[in-house]
Amino acid sequence: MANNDSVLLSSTLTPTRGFHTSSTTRLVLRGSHLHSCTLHLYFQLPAQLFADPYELDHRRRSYTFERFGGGNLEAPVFAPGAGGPSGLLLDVTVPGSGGGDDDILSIEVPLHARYGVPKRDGEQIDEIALPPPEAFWACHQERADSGGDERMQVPDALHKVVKLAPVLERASKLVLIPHAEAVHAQVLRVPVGNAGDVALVETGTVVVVLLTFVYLLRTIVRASRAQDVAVKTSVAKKVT
Amino acid sequence: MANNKWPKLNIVFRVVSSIRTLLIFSSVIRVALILYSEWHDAHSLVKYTDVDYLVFTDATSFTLTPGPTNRAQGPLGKWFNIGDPYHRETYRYTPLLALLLSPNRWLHKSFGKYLFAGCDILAGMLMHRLLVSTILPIARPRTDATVHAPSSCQRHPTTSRGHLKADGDSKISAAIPISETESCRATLMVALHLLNPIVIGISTRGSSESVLTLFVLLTLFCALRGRWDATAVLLGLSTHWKIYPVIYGVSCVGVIATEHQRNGQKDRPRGLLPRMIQHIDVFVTAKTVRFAGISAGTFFILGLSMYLIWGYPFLYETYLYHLHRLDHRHNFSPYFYLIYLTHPSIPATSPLAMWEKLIRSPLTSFLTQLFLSLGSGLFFVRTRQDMILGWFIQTAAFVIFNKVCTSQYFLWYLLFLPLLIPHLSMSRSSFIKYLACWIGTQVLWLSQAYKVEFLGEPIFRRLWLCGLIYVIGHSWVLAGITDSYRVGVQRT
Repeated sequence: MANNDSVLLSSTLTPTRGFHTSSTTRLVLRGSHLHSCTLHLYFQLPAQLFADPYELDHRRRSYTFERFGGGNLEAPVFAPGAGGPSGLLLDVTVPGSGGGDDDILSIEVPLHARYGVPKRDGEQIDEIALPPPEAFWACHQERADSGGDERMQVPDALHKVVKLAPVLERASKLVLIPHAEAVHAQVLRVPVGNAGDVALVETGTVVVVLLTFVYLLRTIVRASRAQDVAVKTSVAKKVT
Repeated sequence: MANNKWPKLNIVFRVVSSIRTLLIFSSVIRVALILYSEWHDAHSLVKYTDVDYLVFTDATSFTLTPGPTNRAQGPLGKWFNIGDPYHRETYRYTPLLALLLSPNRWLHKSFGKYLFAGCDILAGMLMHRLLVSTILPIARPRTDATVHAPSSCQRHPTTSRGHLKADGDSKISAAIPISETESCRATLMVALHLLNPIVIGISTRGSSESVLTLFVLLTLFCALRGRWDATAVLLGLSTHWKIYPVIYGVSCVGVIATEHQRNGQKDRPRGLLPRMIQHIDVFVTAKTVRFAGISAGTFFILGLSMYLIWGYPFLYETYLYHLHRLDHRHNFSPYFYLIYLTHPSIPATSPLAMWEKLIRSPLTSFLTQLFLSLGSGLFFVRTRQDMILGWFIQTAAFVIFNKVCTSQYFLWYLLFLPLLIPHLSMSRSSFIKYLACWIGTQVLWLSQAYKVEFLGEPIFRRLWLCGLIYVIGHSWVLAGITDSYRVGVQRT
């Protein structure tokens, strides 16, 4: 069996505030590469985070992807169309190397936050926790190499991924890349509205809209009357 | 603004001394930016190109590459080997746009940007033609006029006065010479549009607004020349492209009705009912019915053709979606916060009172918007020369009171300004105040929106207040422009 001392070094979010962030995952690919293997990352995205597939499409030089769930990109988290939690599986392009050398690979995934449920009390912030991705090799050795009719051993952490992406079942082996000790869930802080503002916003919006409506209506009527006066004056001058 | 108060304007004017120079210069800027956008997008993760351009391009790809799960879904869709542009999420435009950008796929991915830039240039040419043939001859200097061309435009004084006949004559007399002064002024007005960074940015980033701008200007061009059948067709096409140009229809009907009425004006009867009957009698004539019929017919023929091929997805994404869209994400309109807080998916804590239901009803906000944008067209625009200001007011009111507003929407009424300026009588200080207000309210909103979106600050209430300030500020500017309008022609 090929040696694999690869480690997922870190998974960070930058920035950690606002509606737009980027998850950067750094992997050390140590030892001899598993040449018949493909490298994958799987993100379990909470309901309030989503990846834009059209945006990810621009990064096809670094990775291809498959989304599971995700719903309407434009919906707030509380709308039925938002789709709830989702999964994102990346097939990462591993740069060629001489083998035996440490390769540090950095994979960046842009993510976006949906609008959250307005809060009435406390800080008007949602803290969205994004667990670190699961990184793994999917190896495609001949079944004969692995001893005949043995079923593929799937690490516990990848059971869900295999159910979502049946293509992985064609692999002969899935090798989970362990996390370094310092790797933990990242938190994105996203502002939410204040549910207590409803009365103020309703009243304020209606009052301002109606007042400006009346103001513009008077302006238009005044301009129209000025036009009539100008026309009458002009006609009177023509007659005289 | 007399030229001796604006000596630096001469420098600018030398750069754009003729319409040909201006058009070439504007084209070069646009081509350069489009080439730059290709380099920039290839080397930066933050793209120059608008997301919408990618939406159009993807939709074009889907349209041209049908497959088992990607086929036109209309009753006649199977007769055409064509895909479904609505396969692309968030594509909410007519299929004609996707077809128009077909060369994006087989020629060059930036073809669309060059097309939109070309529409900008054509719009500039059309504006110049309107200014020299119609608008400037009407607005020739009067005693109260305060807008003058720079001194480099005043080498040749005006030689004759012109007039716009209001009896339906569609041709401006060819015998009326256009002075070089007026030609210079026209070029300067067009430069305000073609060299406007907002206009340049929108088309070179790949937004399709310039296509509709061109359609609207063509519609106005034909209307000002009294070519009502062509106006009706273009209005139908513009409305098919995007719904809002339908508001111009009422002013067209009003002008046609007024011109027809002049030939046999009756005395106003006494009593409300007789007056209402007379109004209906005035507006419902053979000519207005013909106009409405051709315009509506064009719209429905286009819509039906698209529906027969692409089916319900076309109908929903292009039109029906806009009827009940809920734009909860922050935008200039203050309605966004109300929509967010009262989103139907958030359970109400207590039953709503009748007045709350009324306030939250989309119809309530829609009525104010509709009344102003249609009413100003119907009651203010009575002759062709009123149409430019009328359409400007209608569009600006529509945008200000719309439940969603992004920067691109401003282009819908900015395109009328170069045509309107010759008729405006405004002091320099007023001009500066209005410009500062128009820009300042946007900058204020953008500064707070940046904090919410990119810094994650929980300041939605403050952002909403900035939205109210935007509505008030832009309404004040609209009122100021309306009040400074001066008619420069005798009406027959």
